[in-house]
Amino acid sequence: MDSQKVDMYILTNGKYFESHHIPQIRDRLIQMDDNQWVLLQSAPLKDPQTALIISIFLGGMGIDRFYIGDTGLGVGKLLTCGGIYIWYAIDWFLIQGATRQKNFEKIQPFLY
Amino acid sequence: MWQSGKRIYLLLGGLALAGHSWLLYYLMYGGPSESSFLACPTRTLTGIPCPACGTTRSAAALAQGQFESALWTNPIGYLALAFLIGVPVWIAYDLLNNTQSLKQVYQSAEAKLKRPQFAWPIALLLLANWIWNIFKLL
Repeated sequence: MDSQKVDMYILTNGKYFESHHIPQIRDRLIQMDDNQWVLLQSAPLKDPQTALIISIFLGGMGIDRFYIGDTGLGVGKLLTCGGIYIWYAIDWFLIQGATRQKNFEKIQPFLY
Repeated sequence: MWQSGKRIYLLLGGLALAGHSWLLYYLMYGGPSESSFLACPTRTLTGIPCPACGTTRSAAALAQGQFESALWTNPIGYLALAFLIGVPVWIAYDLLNNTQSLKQVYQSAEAKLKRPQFAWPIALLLLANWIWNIFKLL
């Protein structure tokens, strides 16, 4: 794909991914076929900051984990009252990284 | 990655271990009369019980053989106790046989939970349980 287009994608969507994944994503996108472009753009990426806000206010019921697509963990968190404060608090620090990781997993089908 | 095998086993094992420690602590030190310590962030922050409030009391009642009182406190206690007993056994089984059946079941259950035909009934059940919880003032 056109490297200008790829750089544009990275510029607008860079905040959704871990910084150490960016070079890899860029390399793979340049090799990607042009007809995948629309599909790639329609991939539902989640905003890490939104996830953090949800985690702070609704993390006690696991809504943050449901939001990023970790349904199993969400149910676990919901059924343990947010893991008796401990899981609830730990997730304030983990959720942004987990969101970026999930976003990276979501675009995997287009990269390989 | 959360999806890779080891993480799931560590997570479920850790959750079961934490659950056992918590239940043991509750059975030894926090009787039914204790009310000063609130374990639920939702309950502490808003004063409204969350869908899972009362699970500890329910599981503790079950562990003491009070099946009916457990059901009236919170039916999720049955699930919690089944998890606490089942998961360690399952992990041990997988370790001994060098299989990954628990991981496969977890992943297929998670995929099913995302489908509307499973998600909606479960969400409605939990909602009903939540409303019941609020009325019971757990």
